[in-house]
Amino acid sequence: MVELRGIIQYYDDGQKHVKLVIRREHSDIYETHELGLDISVNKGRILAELARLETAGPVRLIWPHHIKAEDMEGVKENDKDIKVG
Amino acid sequence: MAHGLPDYYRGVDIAYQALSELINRPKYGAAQSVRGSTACGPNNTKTLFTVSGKGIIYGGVLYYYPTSSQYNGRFIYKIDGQTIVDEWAWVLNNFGIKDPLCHPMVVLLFDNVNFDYCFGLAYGYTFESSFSMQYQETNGGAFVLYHRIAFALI
Repeated sequence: MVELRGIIQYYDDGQKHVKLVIRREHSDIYETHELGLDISVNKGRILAELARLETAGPVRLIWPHHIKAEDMEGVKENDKDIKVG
Repeated sequence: MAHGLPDYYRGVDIAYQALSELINRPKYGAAQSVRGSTACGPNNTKTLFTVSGKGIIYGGVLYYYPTSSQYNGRFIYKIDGQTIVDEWAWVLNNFGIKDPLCHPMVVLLFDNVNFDYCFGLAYGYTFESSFSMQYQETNGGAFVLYHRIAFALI
């Protein structure tokens, strides 16, 4: 089980950083993962990364309602049509 | 188990178990930080950072040393989508807004001769869904704004 606990976005040295904070089952240890540099944030991209981080058994992801996958600069034109199934 | 039964006969039950001491504390979450720098262009509004999640702000500083005055720079600080600070830099300085118990954002250094500026974020503000900071450049200058923010995500 991978539970998303936060999305952090900021600029540093001209590059946009996106970090995901997650928690695994039965663990109070939070992990921080860099999603990538200069990429736009959308739900599909984050779900794909969370699924990749699930290393044990079938993929089970928890996405709390209060966490929004909104890019810090708004929705990019190329991301408007991404469907999340 | 205090009553001599194996644990599998009964789960944790505070009333049943003869605990001599119970430690109770809030869950504070895991410490995180944002340590970045944002290029601010003339007459532009830039988002410096955004955090989505639940937690508490430990504090932070924003500092910059442009080559010309940023007297009229404007900060927009949002928590849970609500604007809690929308203020010009000079206002924080001129009115001595320096006490973090009174205001979520305070002035730490405002040197309008050498153009060194530093502003602080107050400790202890909690957020249920997000917090973010924007800076609006209104003086026609370009410079880099540095930010060091500490917080916890629950």
